[in-house]
Amino acid sequence: MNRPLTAVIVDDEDLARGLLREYLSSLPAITVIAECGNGFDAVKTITDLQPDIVFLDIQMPKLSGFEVLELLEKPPAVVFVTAFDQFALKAFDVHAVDYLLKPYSQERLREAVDHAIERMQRNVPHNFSEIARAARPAGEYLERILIKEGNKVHVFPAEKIDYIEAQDDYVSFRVEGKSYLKLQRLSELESSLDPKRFVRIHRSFLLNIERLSKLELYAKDSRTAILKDGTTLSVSRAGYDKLKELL
Amino acid sequence: MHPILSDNKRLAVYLAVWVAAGFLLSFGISRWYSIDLFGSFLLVVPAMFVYGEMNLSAWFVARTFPLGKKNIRQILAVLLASMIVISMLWTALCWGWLLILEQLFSVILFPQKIISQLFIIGGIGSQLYLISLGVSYLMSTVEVSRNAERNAFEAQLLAQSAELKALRMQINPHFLFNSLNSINALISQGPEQAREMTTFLADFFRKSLQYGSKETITLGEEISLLNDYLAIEKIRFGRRIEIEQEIDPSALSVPVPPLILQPLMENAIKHGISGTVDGGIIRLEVKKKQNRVFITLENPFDREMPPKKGTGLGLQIIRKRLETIFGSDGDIQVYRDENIFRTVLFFPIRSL
Repeated sequence: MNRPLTAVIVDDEDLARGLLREYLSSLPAITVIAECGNGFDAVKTITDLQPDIVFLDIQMPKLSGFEVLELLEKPPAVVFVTAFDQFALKAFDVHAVDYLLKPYSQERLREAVDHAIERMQRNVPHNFSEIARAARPAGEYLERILIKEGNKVHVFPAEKIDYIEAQDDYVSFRVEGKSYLKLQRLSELESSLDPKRFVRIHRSFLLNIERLSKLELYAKDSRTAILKDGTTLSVSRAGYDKLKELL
Repeated sequence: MHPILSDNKRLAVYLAVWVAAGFLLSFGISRWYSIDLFGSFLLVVPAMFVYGEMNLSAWFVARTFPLGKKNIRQILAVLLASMIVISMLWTALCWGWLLILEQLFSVILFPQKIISQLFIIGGIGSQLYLISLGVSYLMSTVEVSRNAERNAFEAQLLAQSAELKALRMQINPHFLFNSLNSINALISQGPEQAREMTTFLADFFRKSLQYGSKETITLGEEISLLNDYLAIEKIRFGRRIEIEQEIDPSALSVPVPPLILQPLMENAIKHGISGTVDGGIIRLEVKKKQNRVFITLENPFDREMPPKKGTGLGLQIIRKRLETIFGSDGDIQVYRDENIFRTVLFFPIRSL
């Protein structure tokens, strides 16, 4: 590789960033072009600068490392940096993701960088949303939803969502009377959200059952869910079975 | 252990029951078969006494072949076989005893034919053995469930005390690894601070071990531990931590359970400071009011961050510890303002 790779360091601790900067300064293959101290900042900087590689802390203010990646349309190569997170580490090992465990040596950093570069050259991108899901301990679910609109990031607690509708490649979140679009599959959301709260009542709808007011039968095997705000959604046969089980 | 054989009193009662049953049975037998009552006693009571001892074996059968675990047919076959063996053995003994008695007193005690004699004795013997089996199964069920209950209770007690102790002494891996990472960074960026942090870290762990193994320490000791902890985190988070303390010096000698505040301070960093971009003030206030100590800890937090796992558990453990030591006089309360998290802990001043 001729030109050095551009890198962004994301960590909320000054000292941790300083150490990484110092280590990386001796690697000619990498040029650090920016540093960020929180998740929002990271999303903006990475979107603006499009670095080749990001050194990403997992636990940060505003957005976690996984959430940062979720909001990036074209995530760069990533080396995760974390002190201790048994669930994430398991997911990283399973998906062959490069990571550094604090405190790490310069040698270990060099290995991780080499590996990331090699992976970049083979052009095998990671599916970070799958890794994020694997890193969540069993029985824990997505607690908030992130949606990026232009440069603005909306953050909603999951319980504020009324329902989610599939629209081609997108899903539309209905939250407090407004709709927000996001490029995601409904089935993926269904498996990430708490199944005791969110029920797939129809091929196209994932409903927060706390919003359900009543169910009406309008033809054989075909029902309508009426929400507390008056919205009506179709309920499939299978969806009705799932609702019955929960209610 | 056999529940009856292992206890002489129980064995005496058990055999007395068999002898009593023997008396009843001899009345019956003397009636039904028109045998001389005294002869019937002589025949039946010793036989019952011996059979009582033989029937103790039913318990071993019941224990070796518990119901519901193996094939029920197999078990029934085993039970049937044991019944036949025992009752035949007893029948033989009884018949021998009958012959001896008849020889001794040169009378005919049992006027029936030999074959019906054997059937009568064998019938009684097998029925009695069935009763013994039934009782044995009942006893072993009771024993199994009582053992299970006791084991569960013991395990729970053990787990609880071990858990509390482990939680008290636990080294938070995040804290340790992040601190080491900070030291690693400081070795080139600020060697003087690296040294400081190493000694703070050593002091903190030494005090945690030392205090954690005691039943009680002074509030002053607990606060000195907090200060070591804060000094470390202050280096790690830099400007994001500001510390304010307002402590009534006369409260420093108050006895407290060890490491009762440390988890709160850990929460203040882990769930508070580390989730905010700009950090804020960590404020510790200690006051004495009417023979009680009130400790208030405030930290900033970001409302939008999802609650991290473990906060609730830490508070629950502290609440439980306070309750065990102070009853309803000690408690911990939690308040959330817009972006300030406040815990207030209070307990009476008394020796522990």
